[in-house]
Amino acid sequence: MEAIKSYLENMFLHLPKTAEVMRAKEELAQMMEDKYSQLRSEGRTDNEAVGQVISEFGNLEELAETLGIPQEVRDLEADTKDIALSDAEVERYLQVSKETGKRIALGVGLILLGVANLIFLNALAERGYVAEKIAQAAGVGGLLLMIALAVYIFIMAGVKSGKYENLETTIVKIDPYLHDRIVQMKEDYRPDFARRIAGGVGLILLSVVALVTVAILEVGGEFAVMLLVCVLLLAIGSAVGLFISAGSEMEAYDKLLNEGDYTKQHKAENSFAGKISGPYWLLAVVIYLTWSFITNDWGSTWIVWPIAGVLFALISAVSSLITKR
Amino acid sequence: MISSDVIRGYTDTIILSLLRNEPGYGYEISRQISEITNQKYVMRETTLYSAFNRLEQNGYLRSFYGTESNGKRRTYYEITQEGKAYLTEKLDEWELTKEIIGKIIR
Repeated sequence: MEAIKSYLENMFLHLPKTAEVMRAKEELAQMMEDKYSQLRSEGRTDNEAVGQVISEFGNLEELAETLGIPQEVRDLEADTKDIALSDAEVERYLQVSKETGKRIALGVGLILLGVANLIFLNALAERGYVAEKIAQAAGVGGLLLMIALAVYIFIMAGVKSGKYENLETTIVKIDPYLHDRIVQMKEDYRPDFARRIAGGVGLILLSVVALVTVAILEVGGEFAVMLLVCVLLLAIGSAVGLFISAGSEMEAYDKLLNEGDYTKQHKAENSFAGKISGPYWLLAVVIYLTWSFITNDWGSTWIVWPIAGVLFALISAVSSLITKR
Repeated sequence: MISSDVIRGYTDTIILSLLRNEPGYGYEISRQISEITNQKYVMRETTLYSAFNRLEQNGYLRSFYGTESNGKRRTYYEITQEGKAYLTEKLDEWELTKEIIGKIIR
């Protein structure tokens, strides 16, 4: 019986929810249910009854004419670009999505680690623990190495997930059982998703507040501020990991279900923190290094990082709200 | 099996004819058709619902909710005066069709 309901749900998935359409759906459900009960009472197995009811159902095009929605249905039927995915392909896609998220998070983490290292070495030099020239050479060299590594990781992640790029622009067709299962997985994932986003935003804000407090109160001097900037960068690194892993999993469900940013209308144009975070942090590094080398004022250019951090938290929070609708 | 092209023009007449004496609900009509024809013709759910919808819009049928013994709500369809007049017209047309086609093709 559940299978029949799923079948009907799936049939009506893309139709406008007008009163007429809803009534048709209700009536059809009633007829199918009656037929199913009748077949069962005649001794048919569940499978046989479901099979017969579904095979004798008919087609939507016929209904559309009387419901005043021929255009939508014709669109649906004509969409030969739609892709059908099997159970195994869906599993694999979810797997790859999670991995891609982890890789991008790792890349961003490396870049931020490189920046933290640079600022830390500068702070040490400031205190006279290390020669300034050596600190800068090691710091900038380390950062560039990290960036090279991160870019390599971004590219490899792109290659792996590139196979599934068409899921972003085409409507996915999966069978009703699987559709229900993914809906369930998405529901189960929702609280975890909210926790990760909130955790990430909290982490960034907390370290920014600590940094600003110390900077304003001038406790511990510039050295303490520099150390807190390093802490902030590590916090941002963890937060980015949370945002991206949370976002890419949710995004994968939405793509499979054609929901959120990935409804029929929106499949063509969308964006998310996970996609921009690589370029975003690279850009931040470019701004930071350019500014630092031009002014040679390493003592104040770190201000780029709290600003970039708060901005990123804001973008992530807003875009996750939009994804959640 | 019978070609659905041939029968399509008679969907409305079939339904009105089955509802001529008393109101009925969707599956009831569909079951009657299968039983009377010995499963040689099974009307699809979408065909049946489209016809109900069309006949109601034309004023040939009226629908109302009835409650089943198990407490469930069910939509019943009842033929109207206009529906009866239309059915008579269609039955005459069918007699004429049978006569003419029967004379031509043998």
